[in-house]
Amino acid sequence: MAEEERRPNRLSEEAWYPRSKTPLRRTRALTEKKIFAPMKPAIDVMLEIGEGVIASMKGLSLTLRHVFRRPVTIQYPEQRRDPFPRFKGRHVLDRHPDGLEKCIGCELCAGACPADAILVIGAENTPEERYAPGERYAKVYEINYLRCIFCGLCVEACPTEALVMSNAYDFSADSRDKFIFTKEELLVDAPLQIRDSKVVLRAGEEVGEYRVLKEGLARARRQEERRKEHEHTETED
Amino acid sequence: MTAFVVVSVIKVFVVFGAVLGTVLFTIWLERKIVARMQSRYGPNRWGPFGLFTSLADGVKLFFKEQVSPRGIDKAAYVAAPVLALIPAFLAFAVIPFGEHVTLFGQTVTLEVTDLNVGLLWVIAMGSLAVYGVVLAGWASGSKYPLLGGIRSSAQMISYEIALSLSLVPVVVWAGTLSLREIVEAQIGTFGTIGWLPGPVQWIGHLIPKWYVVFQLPAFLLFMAAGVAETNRAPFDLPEAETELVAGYHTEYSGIKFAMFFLAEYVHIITISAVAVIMFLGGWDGPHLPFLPWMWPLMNFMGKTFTLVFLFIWLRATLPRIRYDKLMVLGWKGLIPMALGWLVVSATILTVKDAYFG
Repeated sequence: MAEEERRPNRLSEEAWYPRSKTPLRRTRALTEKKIFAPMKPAIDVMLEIGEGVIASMKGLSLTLRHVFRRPVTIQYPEQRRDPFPRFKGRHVLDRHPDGLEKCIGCELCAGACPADAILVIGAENTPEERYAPGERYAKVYEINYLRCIFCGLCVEACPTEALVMSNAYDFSADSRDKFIFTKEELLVDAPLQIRDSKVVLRAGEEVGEYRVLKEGLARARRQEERRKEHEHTETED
Repeated sequence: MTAFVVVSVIKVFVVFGAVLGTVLFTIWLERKIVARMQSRYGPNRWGPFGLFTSLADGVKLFFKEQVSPRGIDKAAYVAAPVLALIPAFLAFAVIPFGEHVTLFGQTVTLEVTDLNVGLLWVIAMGSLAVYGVVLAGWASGSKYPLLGGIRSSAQMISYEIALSLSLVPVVVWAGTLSLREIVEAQIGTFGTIGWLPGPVQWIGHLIPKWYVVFQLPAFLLFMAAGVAETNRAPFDLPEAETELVAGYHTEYSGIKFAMFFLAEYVHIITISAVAVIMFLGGWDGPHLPFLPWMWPLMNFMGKTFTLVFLFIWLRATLPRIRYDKLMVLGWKGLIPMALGWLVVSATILTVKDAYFG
């Protein structure tokens, strides 16, 4: 007891493996009798070995039983498990029943996004080119899934319920470009596997104070440059 | 003479190919069985039931870039995997797979050669395996491989004593070191046992004359030491990934790693085959009238794979043992027990010869 008080972090052997739970406890209790006292060490060793053998057999039988059970693995590409109903997967831009887009290009989603993953550039609807019912529509709508954290704040911010989240979760690709989803890929009736950009504006073209992203992490690079400029001016002061 | 040379060369190639194929199959078997014991599927992409997975892995490793770190001892670094693999295959030179077959008028014994010191050869080749591991650990110029190499040199040298000592009682009983003669001494059953009461005398016809019947302690000691000698779980301290990354083959990649990997599995099959020869009667077993040459081979392979399954089963079940406990088990447990059993079985043999003729 005194030793355990001195080393409180160390559990005694009894605590790890209580004698009362060992498989040969009845036999062990028998050997406590006085007549066996002279042979006690030898008996203890044999009991130890017996207990070890029984414990190993238990372990081995457990693993052997598992051979005849069904594996729990889901064979992923062939078998899929449906996500839960409110799973936050890839975004979808919804349409009105008459086919017009719900998105009005207000940029509230881009403003709400904590990861700075959304780029929206609005434009005026004209009678010849009408996309949304109101005055404006989203000319460019890009979500960068390398930045997106799937928090859903954009969906909450959307005033027209145009931006909703689907339960698609597996859209891996072999290039960073392909993780920037354009409006054509995000619209609800777009085929899921469209990867090539069909954006009206070319990549790199500047619109107002924005630049259309299609080359990987252009925005991050620009922020980095801005930060460096800032540091530069600070050191000059 | 020419015929002998031709037959020998053919036998060498056949045995080499067969062992290589068996190793690939064993790797697949291990992955599959361990997976099922952990409620997984295991490899199932390549070929039926994923049977070609090992082959695909081998091809991949063969074409991989050879990454060798700075600060290595170049000569030893290259030699180590070869030194690990060659003795593993050489041990198979003396292992008899079956009786003999008659092909094109030639009587061919089913082994590369029948050395009169066959058992010694197998044990010697097992001891040489430690060089590959130690050199790999030393030559890598990195701390984890070095620790793995030191551990394994201590472990393999310790357990090889117990391994050899557990085989001595069988040698004493059989009176020979030739593996073929040891197997031939075990063929058949005990027959009618005279000293039993009349009605149960026939039971001797059901008990095979395998050494495991009277040498069960030696068999258990051999298997325990064999698991440690092959560096398999629960004695896989040289490559304990929780402590040593991958132990002695941490710095190896591509075909050099594949050589270590192959050597490990060849050792498993060697230990299993030796256990079958020494204790389980080799190719002795049921013979059916059709295809007479096939049954000895089938018996031998069936028994060997049963023991290989035991290796895999242990690996899936038991956690890794602590290093000081491993040494205590080896020096204070297995070696005294093997010595004690040697004395007991030699006494039994002497008494049997003296009084029962």
